[in-house]
Amino acid sequence: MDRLILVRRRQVGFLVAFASLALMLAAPVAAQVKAGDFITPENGSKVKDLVSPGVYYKVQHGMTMKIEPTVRIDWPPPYKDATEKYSSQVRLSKDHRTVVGYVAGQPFPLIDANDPDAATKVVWNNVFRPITSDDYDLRYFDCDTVYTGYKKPFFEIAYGQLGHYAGYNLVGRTEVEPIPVDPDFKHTNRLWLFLLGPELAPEDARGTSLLRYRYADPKHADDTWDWTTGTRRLRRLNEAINSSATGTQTFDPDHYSGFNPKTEEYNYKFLGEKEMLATVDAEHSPEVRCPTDGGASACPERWQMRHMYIVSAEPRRDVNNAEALESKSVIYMDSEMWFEPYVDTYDRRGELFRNHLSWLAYRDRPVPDAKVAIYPFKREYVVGVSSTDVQSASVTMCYLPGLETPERECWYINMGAVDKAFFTTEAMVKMSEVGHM
Amino acid sequence: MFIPRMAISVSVAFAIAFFIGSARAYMLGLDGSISQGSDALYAVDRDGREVKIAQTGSAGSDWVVLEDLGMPSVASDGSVVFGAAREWNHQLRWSIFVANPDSGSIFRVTLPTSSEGDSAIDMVADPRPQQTSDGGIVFVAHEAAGDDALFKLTHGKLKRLVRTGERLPDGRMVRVITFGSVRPESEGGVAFLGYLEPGGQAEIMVSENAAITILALQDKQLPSGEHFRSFGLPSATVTANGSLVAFTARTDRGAGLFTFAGGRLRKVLSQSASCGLGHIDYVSPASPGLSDHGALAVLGRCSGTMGIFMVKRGTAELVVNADHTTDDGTRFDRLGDPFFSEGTVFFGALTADGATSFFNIFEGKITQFVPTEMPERDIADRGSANRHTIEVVSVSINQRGQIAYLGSP
Repeated sequence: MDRLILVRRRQVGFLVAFASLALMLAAPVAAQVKAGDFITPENGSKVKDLVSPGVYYKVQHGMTMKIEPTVRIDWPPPYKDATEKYSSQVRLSKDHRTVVGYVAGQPFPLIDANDPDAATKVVWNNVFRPITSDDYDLRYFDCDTVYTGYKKPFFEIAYGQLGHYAGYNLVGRTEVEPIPVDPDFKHTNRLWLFLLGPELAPEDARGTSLLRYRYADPKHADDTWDWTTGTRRLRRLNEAINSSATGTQTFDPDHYSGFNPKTEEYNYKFLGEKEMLATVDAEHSPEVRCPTDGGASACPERWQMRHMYIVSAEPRRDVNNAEALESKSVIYMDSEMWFEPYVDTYDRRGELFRNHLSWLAYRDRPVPDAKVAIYPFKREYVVGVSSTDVQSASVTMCYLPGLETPERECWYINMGAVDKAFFTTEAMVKMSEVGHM
Repeated sequence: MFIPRMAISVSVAFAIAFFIGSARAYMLGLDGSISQGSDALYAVDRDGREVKIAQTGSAGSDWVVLEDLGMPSVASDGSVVFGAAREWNHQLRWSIFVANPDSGSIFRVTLPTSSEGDSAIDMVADPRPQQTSDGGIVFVAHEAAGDDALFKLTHGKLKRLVRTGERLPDGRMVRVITFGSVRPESEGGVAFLGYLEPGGQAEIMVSENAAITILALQDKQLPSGEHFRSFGLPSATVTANGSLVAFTARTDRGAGLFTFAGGRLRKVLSQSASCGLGHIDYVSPASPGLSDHGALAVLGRCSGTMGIFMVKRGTAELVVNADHTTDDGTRFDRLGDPFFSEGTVFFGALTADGATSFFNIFEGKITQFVPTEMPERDIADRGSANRHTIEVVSVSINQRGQIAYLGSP
């Protein structure tokens, strides 16, 4: 009898130990937080493994999170239809660096972690992502540059206001004619056109603008021009400058809207997939200035568990990218929304350098009182974005729509609001010289 | 063999004779014309010499410039069928062309109105035309009315085999026909990938008389209890036992290779299958290589080693791995997906020196197939005829080993 009890106790003990181990292995990391939790620096350790090191830095410095249940994010129907129609014929090129057979939609909807090219496919999905497949014009937004710190009062080092953050895609168009390809692509090889500017504030930078072309040819580097107030002339930039933040602010063009450098100039490595926190269904638009981190983020805001692909990107210094500033970018890609809520970059010593963080809203209009940009379906809008230099605590936080700008709708996506004529050096100079749109 | 080949030749001759009256004849690239573009279509003629068929930026006799070239398909008689885009009314619109690498002639196929026709065809994307064994051409195109359809052009008549919005006998609706997925087999059937409503993604076969068979459907439970999640592109052939379709698919238990024949769906390779060095852990979603005898080859990974595998009785036999060195010292870097011709496995590969070539595996020996020796007939661009790149994913090969592919001059 005693022996039987002992055996049973041993069995029970073994079962408990086994169950505990099984729970440890099987329980998602998400168990560390649950809907309804409110994350502050005091309990921030709960999310340490659920965000990137750069985002965790922001939590430690006062960014708060409201944990909400996960919601499903659907793509715009035209993009989804194009993916279903065309993705099966897309392949990586012979050197596995670029895509062949792409028409429109997502090039690689099936990511297999065992695929040796999984990382490259994730990055190409990011190039042709659903958020803005045709064109976009972000009119009037503003940014604060601050030093972050927990309970640090808001003290603005610099305030910036910009007229446009606009883009035009020549390939993969799904909503606005010409669909799916602008014939100009066949003449110029330009994949997309981008213009930032003119800077409206501060006054001493009024007119500053940046124009950038991306080409499909893997060997054709981006063409970038800027117009600066002091010289009052157009200048063509060295490609390497796109990886540097200039002026008081902390954004570099290669990390506008996530990971944005010339795709073929990097080697990619698939680091894994994981459930992590992100803001994909923000409560606020316009966003709110965080009162507990010196105005370095949007908070409190809704965060939810998301399935993420994690990819590292290292510049091909020996081939075509010797001057890139960072040693590595680590991209955290939402597997459903297909936008990277955050990217961490590392300096050449391998130390964490900058975090680029986006807050996204999921709705049928950019702001509740929109009168123009209203869609028959929900889509994603980036409503806040921050770039944090974790080595200096300097942060630029941008509000889209702006907090102090006259334009309220701000985002005009796939509406034909801008065309190719908007993205010329001539147009940029004219716009910059008069200092307004 | 003789009769089908004769039939094909007659059909192609008929097709050319029919088209010539209405189509404009192009001689693109074959007369040393403009070569501003970066993409060109090459084929190997009956003497084994490489011929440049067309090049973007080249103007034809009517001064229409080709802006883009689509993926080619080599018919059983060696003629090359391909789509090419031209700018029209500030839009890129595609047309279908048939080229004969031996004579250098190229004809644009003028499409008649569909026999059921109530909507004009509007080719907004590469229709990926494929020649059928009876000399016809199957392709997918958009209709001006808003739907997409799978068409077959035979003897000057255009027949719509299936269109989106069409109801199946079981009440489901065809929601999407996936471009580039169409694979005809020699008895008139055409396998393709699509989406049904309700039901999701599906492997589908449509017969000559437009009867539709659903081969595999997303979320469908297999006898093993697993469920389909997504599908790769199909391959189709006719063996001694009838029509055979092969495709890769992901289920909730991982990737696998499936066949459909005689009304029966079979899983012939699972992700955990033995592969000599260990177990299969990745299978490419491209069309599997499928021979007329039912032999199957796939690109995959065996316990971390990428390679091409022959599938035999549920196991995968490695025939070439990604870092293989051939007898002549060529070392591979990356392998392309395999395909069969006359029982021989062909594949494209990027070699360690950065070049791209096609290879075949015959009796265990790997031989470089293309680039061929310097062609005597470097028609399009003397001096650089053999120095172009090859886009290995674009290669098409017929059962006689004749090939066509895209490259950059």
